[in-house]
Amino acid sequence: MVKFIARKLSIMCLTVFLISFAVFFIITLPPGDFLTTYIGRLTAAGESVDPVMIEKLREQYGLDQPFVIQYWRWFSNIIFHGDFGYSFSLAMPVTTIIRAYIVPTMVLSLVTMLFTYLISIPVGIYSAVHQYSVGDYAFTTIGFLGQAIPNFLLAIILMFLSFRWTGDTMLGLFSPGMQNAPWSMAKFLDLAKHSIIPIIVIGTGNTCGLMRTMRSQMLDELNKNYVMTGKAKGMKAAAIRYKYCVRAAVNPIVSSIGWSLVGIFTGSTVTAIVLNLPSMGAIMYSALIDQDMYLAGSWLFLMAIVTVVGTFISDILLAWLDPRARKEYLKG
Amino acid sequence: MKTKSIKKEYTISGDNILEVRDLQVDIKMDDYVLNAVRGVNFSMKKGETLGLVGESGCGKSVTSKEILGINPNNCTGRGEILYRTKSGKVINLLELEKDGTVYRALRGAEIAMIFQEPMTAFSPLYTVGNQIGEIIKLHDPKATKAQIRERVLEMLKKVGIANPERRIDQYPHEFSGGMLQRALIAMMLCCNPDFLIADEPTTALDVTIQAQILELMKSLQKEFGMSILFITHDLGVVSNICDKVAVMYLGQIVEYGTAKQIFHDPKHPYTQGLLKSLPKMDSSREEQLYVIEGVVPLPVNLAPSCGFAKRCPNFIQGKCDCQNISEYEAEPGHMVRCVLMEREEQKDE
Repeated sequence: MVKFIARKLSIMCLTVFLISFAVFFIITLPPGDFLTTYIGRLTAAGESVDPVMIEKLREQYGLDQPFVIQYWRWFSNIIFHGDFGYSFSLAMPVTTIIRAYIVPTMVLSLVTMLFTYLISIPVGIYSAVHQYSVGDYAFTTIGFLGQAIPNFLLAIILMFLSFRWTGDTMLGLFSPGMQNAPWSMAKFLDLAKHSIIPIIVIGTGNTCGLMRTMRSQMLDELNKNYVMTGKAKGMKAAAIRYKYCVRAAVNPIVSSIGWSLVGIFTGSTVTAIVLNLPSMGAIMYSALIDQDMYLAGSWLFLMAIVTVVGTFISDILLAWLDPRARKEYLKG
Repeated sequence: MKTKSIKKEYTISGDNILEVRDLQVDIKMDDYVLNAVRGVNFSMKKGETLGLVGESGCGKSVTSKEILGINPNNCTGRGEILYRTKSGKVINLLELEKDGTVYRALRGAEIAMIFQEPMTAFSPLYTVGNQIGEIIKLHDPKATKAQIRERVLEMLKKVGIANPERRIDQYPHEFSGGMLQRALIAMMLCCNPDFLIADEPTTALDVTIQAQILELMKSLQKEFGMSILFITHDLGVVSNICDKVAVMYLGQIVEYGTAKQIFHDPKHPYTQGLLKSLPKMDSSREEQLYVIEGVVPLPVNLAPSCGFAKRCPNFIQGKCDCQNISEYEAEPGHMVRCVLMEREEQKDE
């Protein structure tokens, strides 16, 4: 297993490196750079631009260097100094922006995922075991509703309800006074309180989808022949379910951890805007328009890392769950 | 132990281990009810092998699974399945709670079952040794890990699996079909059951493996002295292994007798047809195989008649299609459910 993980890790590092290259290449692909856009905007506003000044800026940011050198400068700074470069449009280091925006988004996403799995897997199992029961129908109804209601609508409804009941719309991740306060129990509780609505809103769609997946997977497994063998051995029906069926049924859910993490991470842009969360979606959008290459590149790069790490986690879980997958990986 | 109080005292004749009396199983489908088993009677002696033969869908699998109480929830059984436990007590299996302690203690320990497709009878997620050892753990909770492993190894050796020390830690996908069937037999015989149900155990295997498995089962039967209910649609297999044969058609046993009676003197037109439709090694290529015309009707709301009437070459109007056919004894121990027998009886008189 150690060998397996080590192999996976080395492949992962290589993948990350290749992705970083691809990301940087794509980001620098449009003609011109941030300064061109900048000049364009200034001239459009009727202001004069000093060519000497521009040349100086270009030199300062290394924008006159060939692509490979620019890339290496950016990548090595990330790897060796944890420095993601400088955002031109926001006039601050990308690292600061990451800390302020990406970290909360990530934490929120991870908690949401946890919430998603904690609810969808048990409910899916229940629905399958008690197929066509009242409970199954109820969960199915809720599930379809959850999938059908757009997130932003759900966000608005919950905000309204929250305002009705607590007098607070719970906008943002912190109360106004707490935003810049040092970390404390009170700040943490404030964050927890403000996370409830986003978690429900972002998690609902996914939870409902996974619930359905889990239900159908579980139904498949319950009808497999090995269940009959288990019964013939004298096993309790519930024991067969938990030892054999559930372990087999979570397989597709586990193998999709990688991309569902990214889905939660990026898919929540609209919700984030509605709920006024400090999420990256909106910032990313303007960064792309402005050709703010370090910011955009770093964001894409981080997304890629999340995907790769997610896939890595799901690979390991899968290998742990299913001996056939383990064998495949060790061989190939 | 929580036990449902057994209302009636049952008795079965001396050396019988199992008596099935008027067993009926209905399967509830979405919009109709399938009368899969319609009044089946048979009994089995200790150490005897009974072959239950019939086409797909004639109810033979449902019958056997009803004995073990592992039919799906949409099946309901009526009648009596009387079984003599190892302790000598006779119980009606149909009265037991399906997932209850009493029934579960019987399953695997006293009544065991081998399935048709060994490849799917094991879960792919655990080693073969783990899945075999589980049955020992269930029925002998005091056994230590080492003891269980020892017993599993011994069983694997007994069913002819080479290199059991390595095989025990392998997963089902590393086994061939024949090897898995051996492993499944090993699993089911671990607790030394008195009664084994073999549901087409050789159907999914190729012919050479089939012969090996049959030989294995015969030798294990000699060693363990269990009774076997052998379900198959392959008459060749039946002649090889069974003492008695019951031919099932449309949820009823249409003919019952010793293997010799059934193979050499079949009375029911259906049995005769089955035997005629067997391909023979010495027949020429031009010779056409005998085919029983028509298809098995769906057992839904059947009118009282012989189920085989529409396909029968000896069909008698006004006799076969207007009444339920009763059983006739053609000779001692040879039961036939056919009106032709009625005539013979009259002739005799």
